[in-house]
Amino acid sequence: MRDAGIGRALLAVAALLAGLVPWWMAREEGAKSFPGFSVESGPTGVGDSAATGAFFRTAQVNTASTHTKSHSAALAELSDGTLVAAWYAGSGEGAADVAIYLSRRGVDGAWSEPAAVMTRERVQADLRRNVISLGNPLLLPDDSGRLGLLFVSIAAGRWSGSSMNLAWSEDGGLTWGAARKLTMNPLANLSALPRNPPARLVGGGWAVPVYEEFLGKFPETLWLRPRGEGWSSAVSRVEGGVYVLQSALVPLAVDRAVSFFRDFRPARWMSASWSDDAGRTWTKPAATGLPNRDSGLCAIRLSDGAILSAFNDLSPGKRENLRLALSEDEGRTWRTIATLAEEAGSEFSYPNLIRTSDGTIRMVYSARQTQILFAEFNEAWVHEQAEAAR
Amino acid sequence: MKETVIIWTALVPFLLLLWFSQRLSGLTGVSGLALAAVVSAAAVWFPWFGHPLPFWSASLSANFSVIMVLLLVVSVFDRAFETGIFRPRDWRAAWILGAVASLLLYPSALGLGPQNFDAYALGWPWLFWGQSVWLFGGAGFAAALLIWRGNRFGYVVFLAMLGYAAGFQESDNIWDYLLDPVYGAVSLVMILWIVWHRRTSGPLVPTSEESSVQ
Repeated sequence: MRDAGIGRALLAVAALLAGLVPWWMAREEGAKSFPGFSVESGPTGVGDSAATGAFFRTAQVNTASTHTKSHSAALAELSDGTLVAAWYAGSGEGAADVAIYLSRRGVDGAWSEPAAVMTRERVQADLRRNVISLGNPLLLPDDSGRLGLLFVSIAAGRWSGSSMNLAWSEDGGLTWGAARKLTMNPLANLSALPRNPPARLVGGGWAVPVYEEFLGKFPETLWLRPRGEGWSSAVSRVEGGVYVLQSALVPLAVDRAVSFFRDFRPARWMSASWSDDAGRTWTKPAATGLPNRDSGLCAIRLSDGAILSAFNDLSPGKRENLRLALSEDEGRTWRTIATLAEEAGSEFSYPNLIRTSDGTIRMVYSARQTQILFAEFNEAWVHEQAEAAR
Repeated sequence: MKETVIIWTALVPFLLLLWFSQRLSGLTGVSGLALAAVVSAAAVWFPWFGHPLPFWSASLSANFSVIMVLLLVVSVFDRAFETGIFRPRDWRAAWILGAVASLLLYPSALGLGPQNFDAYALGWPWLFWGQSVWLFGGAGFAAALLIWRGNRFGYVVFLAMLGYAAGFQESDNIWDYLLDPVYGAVSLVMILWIVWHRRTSGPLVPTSEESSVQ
């Protein structure tokens, strides 16, 4: 009887330790869990324009596309300066023939023929589970030359039945390793999607703005950190509820950042949250003065600290225009400075902005959800537009 | 995809089929279990709509909890051999823990509750290391307390935490070793049933076995 009691006591202690030991072993990684954002002011983007001043250029990335749906484009710069764009395309949103397409823009300035890098069949084989469609690619360029591809696969239904996957390329997106599933939530791991560019972290890795749209619709941050030969991933909440999603994360300093949200409350304002603890906690989203009719937006920080946003302004149709706005007070107030596209009855949507290593601002967006358009301009052009709009 | 994940996603439909086939057939004993196991294994590897069941169960979820799987194992063995591995109070502990954990986890996973709070994020020990001690320590303490009090469900929680340390699931979040929506839903239903039963029939009287076994 006494021996049984001792045995049970030892097992009880072992059970307590089984809980505490993994927690204690994570303490070193835990001390670096919010390492801060990698923020560089960098050049202003005049280098490739003979340093003569403002420039603005546009091009179509998927010129020969025959797909009836091409949407949700993402853009990234590789360590050698090559630009890579990725988007999903097929016969329709959620269709079985939707694939993730990728195109590269070399030094000659021409976009390569788009290649389907992830198809439903391939992802289904990689994941060994049912996949009915793909969507929402996002690119993660690494300093070492590796390129990550985040995208969703839909197991059932529409976007609320999606979950997130990650694959890596060692050759700038030409070939890809097997996709693996990321665990994002406890509800059958469904309904997590990426949308806007990631922010680099001090010491490597990314903070990726993601969102859920199952019953709740809310923004989160996916933390991807190097761990040995692989990666660790975890998700933290930005805001709960059912009113904001698709955040654009803009680092302001190592420990400060602002997130802008697509907001589908009736007030029709873009809303924003701020963090002063490296993304660990966020303020309650507050409406900014920038009108936005519940549609995808993107934002980046310029070399002088101003924030540039690409967004759909209010219009009779939902997304008939795509405009640029500038904020000089960390996103609290805004001035619309330029119109990139506008056409009655048309649609220009899902802008994806990055600032490349030479300081040039580059973006991709969808036109009529069939064309993937590319625009590039420098800060001189932005300031020229801002002056003209005063 | 890890090989252990493939095994896990095969084990869950196998055990579910075994559990149902035992109840539908009424078979008990070694021969009944063996027959049910053969039928279940055949059904697991049969290509339903072109794919075996693990393919479809992984599509639903690759992260069925260790606790749910072990409860299925206990139930299958109890049914086959009438061994009484779990007594009523062990089952009650399983339903109480499942219900409490579900109420802590799932509302916040749906975006309800305090603005920045997501209980699931505490399941990655490195992300919010300071706060995660409440989850990891709490799970360890619950297992220790149950074992110390002679409740056999404590061993199941203990094994789930050992499973987390081994890291054989697709998820590296401890919540996915402790809880899943199926176990959570069954727990909530069972707790409601127990409460309803007590209100209509009075408190459940401990069996002589329950009161004597420690």
